[in-house]
Amino acid sequence: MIAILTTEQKDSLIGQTYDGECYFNPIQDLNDNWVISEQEIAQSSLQWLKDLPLSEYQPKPQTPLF
Amino acid sequence: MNRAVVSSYTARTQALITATGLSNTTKINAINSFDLEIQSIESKLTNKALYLLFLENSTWNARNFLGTSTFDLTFSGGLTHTASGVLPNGINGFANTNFKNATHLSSGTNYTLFFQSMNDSNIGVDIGSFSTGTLVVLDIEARYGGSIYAGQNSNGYLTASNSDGSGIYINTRISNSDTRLYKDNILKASSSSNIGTTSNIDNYLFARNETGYASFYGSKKALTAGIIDGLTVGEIAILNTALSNLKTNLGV
Repeated sequence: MIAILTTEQKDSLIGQTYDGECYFNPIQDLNDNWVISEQEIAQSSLQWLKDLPLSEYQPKPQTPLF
Repeated sequence: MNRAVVSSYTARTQALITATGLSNTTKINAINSFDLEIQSIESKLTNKALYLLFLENSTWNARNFLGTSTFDLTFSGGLTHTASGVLPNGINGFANTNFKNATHLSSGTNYTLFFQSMNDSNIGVDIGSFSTGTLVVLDIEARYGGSIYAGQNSNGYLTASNSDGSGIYINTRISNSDTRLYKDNILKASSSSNIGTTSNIDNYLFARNETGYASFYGSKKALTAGIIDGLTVGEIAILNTALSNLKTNLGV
């Protein structure tokens, strides 16, 4: 599960840690939305993250390795 | 009368305890026994990277057990730190080992990657890097599309079918004409073809570094992982046994 971010929200998380050690890693989904994972949200103390709705992650198509 | 207090633990175990405050005696004793076992391959460990990923928090899990802090992990994205390993979410969770092959391997080309997987999944790269410019790949995909793949620090792969992604995977090159892929100390594939290339980008854990960005995120939980120098067949057996005993002694 993931939460969709605005570009401003994404920018505010870049370079920040969610538990003092692990960095947020916003990525883009199939529809080019910026998203972070439920694991990042659960381990963060940022309350506004916990108010974001969760949804299923839709990955971009990826060329298979083989 | 004053008595000197002599630690009953190895220097690396004691250093871990001192740095982290780890007090779980089951974990400490398991780590100490593991360290005693791997001391017979010490020459392959110097200034390399080995991660104990069952310490249950990101700060402790990030530490390079072999002591070279340059290779402490940098975690990013969705990861869960448990008593039986670090579980990546397969979406955006990975760690940078900060270990560059050409710079940090003793020979620049010979290597060992290992990944101790605690669960099956059929997607993702578990540890490694891919230099898109020189098309050099060094990695382990413990199970991807029904097979193990092991990049050979070149543009070639060792591969074998695999129906279960859990287990101990060791991908090693001891010379340019001797690369081997083992699962649970069973030889799965090997090559004697001459391989002379290498790359110099950081290896990632739970994904592969595709010249600067993480791709092919994995979802296999790792108890341990590491990057050390190339191993002989005898040394592979020593490492495999030590990793297996560590898992048993941890009770996970």
